Amino acid sequence: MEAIELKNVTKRYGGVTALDGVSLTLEAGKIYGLLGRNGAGKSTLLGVLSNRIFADGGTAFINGNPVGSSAAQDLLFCVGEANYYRPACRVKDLFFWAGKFYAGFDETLAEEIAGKFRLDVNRRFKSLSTGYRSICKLTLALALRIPYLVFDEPVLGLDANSRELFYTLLLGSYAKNGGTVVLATHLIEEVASLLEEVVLIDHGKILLQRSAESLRESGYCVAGPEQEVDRYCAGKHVVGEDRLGGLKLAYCLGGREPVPAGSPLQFSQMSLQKLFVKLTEREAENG
Amino acid sequence: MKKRNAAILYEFRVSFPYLLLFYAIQYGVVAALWLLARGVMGLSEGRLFGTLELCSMIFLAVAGAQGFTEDFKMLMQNGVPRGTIFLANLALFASFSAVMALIDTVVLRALGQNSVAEPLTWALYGREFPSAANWLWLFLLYCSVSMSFYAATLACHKIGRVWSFCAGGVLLALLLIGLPVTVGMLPAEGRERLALFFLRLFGIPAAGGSPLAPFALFLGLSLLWSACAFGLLRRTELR
Repeated sequence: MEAIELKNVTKRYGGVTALDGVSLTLEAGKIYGLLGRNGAGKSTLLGVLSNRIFADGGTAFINGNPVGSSAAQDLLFCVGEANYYRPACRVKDLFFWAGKFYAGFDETLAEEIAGKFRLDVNRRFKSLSTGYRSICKLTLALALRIPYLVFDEPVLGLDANSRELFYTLLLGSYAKNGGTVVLATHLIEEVASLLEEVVLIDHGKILLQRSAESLRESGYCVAGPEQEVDRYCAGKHVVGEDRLGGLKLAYCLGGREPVPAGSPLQFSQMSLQKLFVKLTEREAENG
Repeated sequence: MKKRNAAILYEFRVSFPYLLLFYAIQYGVVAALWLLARGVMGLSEGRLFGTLELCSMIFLAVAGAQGFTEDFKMLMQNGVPRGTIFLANLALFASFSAVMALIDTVVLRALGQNSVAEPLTWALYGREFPSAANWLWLFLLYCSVSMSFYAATLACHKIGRVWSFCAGGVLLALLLIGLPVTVGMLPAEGRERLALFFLRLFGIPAAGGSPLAPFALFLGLSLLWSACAFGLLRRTELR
């Protein structure tokens, strides 16, 4: 099966459980958004997938190959927040070595992408600013044809223009070459339009995994007088509530029921970010 | 196969320039001091340099530690499995050791003939010690040094900075205080036996040591440290 599969994956750091029996399938050919608050377990999950850290329990496979095997490592490339490239290497040397390590790396394309970002390929990695280090890592990833591209906070330190360019190039590459992209980020609204499926993680557990489209379609906010809102929401999947003066706002998931003409209730679409905030808030309150 | 070849190529391309730099500096200093001693100060007798092999060992110790700190991260980022990283490091250390043992054997024996320096093996076993044996002796010694520091760096990474400092402090205290005190407390006969044991371990002929003993010792240490390093690397996380 062409997919990333995690079964009951657990990872603990001392007394902290970073991943708590995570079971997840990421099918090939989609752009996933891995969303979660700070310390939710996103980086740990990606670390396990990229074989940088070891799970304490459970199993992880990439296209049926156990994570850690050379077959699995040839299928996935992970761009993380931390810089693991040799600091003394020039950017063009990093391109050269990526070409040696990966059959699917296109050095000419990398030079072209670097040009678009105005990244000087003759500079040493250690002499680059935080933003340009991120750009260098993103350039390496974008010039690579590999089944699974995994990004952990990819746009760290990037200005708005560079972020926009990255999203455009990523979408272009995805449209042209396919593959699977996993984006772990806090900038939900920025990537919302890119995502095909959303995985929400909190306290090391998967809270939700659904297609972004169905979330966008089924998530809505109903606002109005408290009693009216409560009456409407009875029996519905309410993920959160807010109060604004005398008004109550309820955030619901599911089908929207028609209301009689003249009803004081007002409806609006719920953004992915709002859904994320409400779901993680509720978990924090419960947990 | 691609990753393995690329990892070995990476290790060699990145590290060998440092080897050239090391020898350029070392023999530059040797030449300068020789000129100073013979030309300026007029000293014409006595060997100027002893145990230059120690410099090579220090270089290999640094290379061994560096093999983990920077190369491991770079290779992991490029999706190289840990087993392949170990192989690439092993290939590098063995090649470094072989080349350095060859240079040190040829150069130091030549300098030894001209009374400029004294090879370590001459000091231990006399001038009749064969060149080929000299190379093998140094090669195995250098392998064990680089692998020991590679394994030690991995162990430090595993236990964390604080525990590494504690362990280093305890080891240093044992070597500088514990060992001399313990040896000092031994009766004279015990001290003699201990000295004899070490002399035989290094195959010193005067102590009745076997000429094969040091080779077996260094080979055993190299294998032991390699096994430790491999065991540690297999469970090392990239943080």
